[in-house]
Amino acid sequence: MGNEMGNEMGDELGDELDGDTMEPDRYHRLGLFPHADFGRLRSMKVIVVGVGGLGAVVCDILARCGIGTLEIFDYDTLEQANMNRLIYRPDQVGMPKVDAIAQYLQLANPDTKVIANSQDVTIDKGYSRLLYSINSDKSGEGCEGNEGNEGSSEDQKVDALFGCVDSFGVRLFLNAKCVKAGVPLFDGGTSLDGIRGSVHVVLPGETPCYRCNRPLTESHGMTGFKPKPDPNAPDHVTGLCHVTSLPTTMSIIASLQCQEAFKHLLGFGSVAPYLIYDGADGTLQRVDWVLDPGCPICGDGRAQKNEKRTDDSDGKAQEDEEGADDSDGRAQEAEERAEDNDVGTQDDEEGADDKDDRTDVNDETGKSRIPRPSPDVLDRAARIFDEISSKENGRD
Amino acid sequence: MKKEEDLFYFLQCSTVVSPGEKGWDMRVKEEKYALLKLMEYLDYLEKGDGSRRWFSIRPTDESATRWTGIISPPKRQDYEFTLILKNSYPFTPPAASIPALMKYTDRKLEDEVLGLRLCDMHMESNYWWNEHCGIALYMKREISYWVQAIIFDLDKKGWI
Ligand SMILES: [Zn+2]
Repeated sequence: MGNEMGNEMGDELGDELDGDTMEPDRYHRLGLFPHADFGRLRSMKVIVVGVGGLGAVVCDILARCGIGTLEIFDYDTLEQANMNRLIYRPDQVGMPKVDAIAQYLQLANPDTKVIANSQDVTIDKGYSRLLYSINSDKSGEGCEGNEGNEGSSEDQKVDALFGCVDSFGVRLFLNAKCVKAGVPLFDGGTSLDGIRGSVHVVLPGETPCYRCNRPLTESHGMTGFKPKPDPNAPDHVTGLCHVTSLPTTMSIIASLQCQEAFKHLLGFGSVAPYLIYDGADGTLQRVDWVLDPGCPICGDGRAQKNEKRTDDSDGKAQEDEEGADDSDGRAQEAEERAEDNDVGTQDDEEGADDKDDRTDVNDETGKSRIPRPSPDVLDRAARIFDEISSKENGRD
Repeated sequence: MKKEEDLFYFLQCSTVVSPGEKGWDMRVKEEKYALLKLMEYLDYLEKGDGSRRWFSIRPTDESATRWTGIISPPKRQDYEFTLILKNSYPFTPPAASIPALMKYTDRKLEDEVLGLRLCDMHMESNYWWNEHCGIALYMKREISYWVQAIIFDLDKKGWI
């Protein structure tokens, strides 16, 4: 009985198999996991966006568990101030974070293929590359401007995306793109005071998305943390992020992200849609969200996605270069718009009593949608705006 | 219960399309419409004719992904500000900066209103943001906050 499950941190290479002189390989202990076959990770590809405090640990865990391909995005350079995070070494300061982590992962597990993108996913090349990667249908969104894909792991379908970013807007962005592409999202975040964190799992079509839960997220106190003011901060300290970061909380959240991802990818346990970790109280709470049918990303958007699928069979030419993204929520409206370029015609007929120039639409959930002015009104407004701004420009 | 963004629904945009995508021109029109509504609203509050409005703004490129304008804090000098709408817009808010204050916006500032400090060279920590929010709402909630509070804070600290 050489292998107790409790002996987790044993030296992989030090053991010997019972009655066998052969050295067990690096996956030996994972292979003994009774609930799932970790070997399946070898053929999988995942994306990690952001390799800071969370992302670096996520990458480490994924590589050591034998993930086949790891595509990483981060536009930051490693600074001395990052040395309280795990993984990175002081001699790597000045390197792009993705290169530093790739260097580390190569040593940690040379089996894992790492695709490093030192780019910002929200703009230009990084954006196109991300969209290219998450869309398994390579004729779809964002496929232009990508060079050198040899039909290998570059082209492989993505099994999961890990959001390890520090910006709320980028989370909304990753959520929208993952829901649209049908890629499971495992998003992690820590509170500004460094002691709390949460993991949000979005399985498109199955669980509520990040956007569904925003109001609840707010009431759960994920906003409004006041970082401790530092009156003694020297004036020359510039360019630093002012938000604290604890390696303990970071690695706990990163581990939880991976745990939930493994459950989904390998099919064991029950995936927790939302986990709230409170390090101050020492609690971990699972929250099972309710899907918001009126959610502009996954609610109406899901119906739209199904429509789109049938569209796609007609012909992919409908998608334009950057990809026609109308994860709008106002599905039919968007479809109409795409069809005849005459925006919102149906709305106008339905509610033409535009007292304030707008047509107010209520869906079956009774939620008020953002109304859209009629095309005439919009054109007029744009003209007036241009006149005003050109006048003001001349005034300066 | 109504939230603030509900109250200012007239500053939001219905079309959710990112720069460069089909329908972006429609979003731009809605952005301009909302900005006009904001101007009307401010003029109404100020009982003014627009001559004393605290901001002006205009797109600087064909695709309307780069915007620039002037903010005028009361009794202070004017500042130029810029907005960049990235490919991820409107899921991510505009990346905003005031070039003349760039070296100060990197510093530690106490932000009592948002409960957050301003991080980096932009103002992206906007928990209130969603994809229907546009430039107009951003002006009202973020840039105006700079005009009202941050610039005075910097001034009080003797930094500007
Ligand atoms: Zn949703």
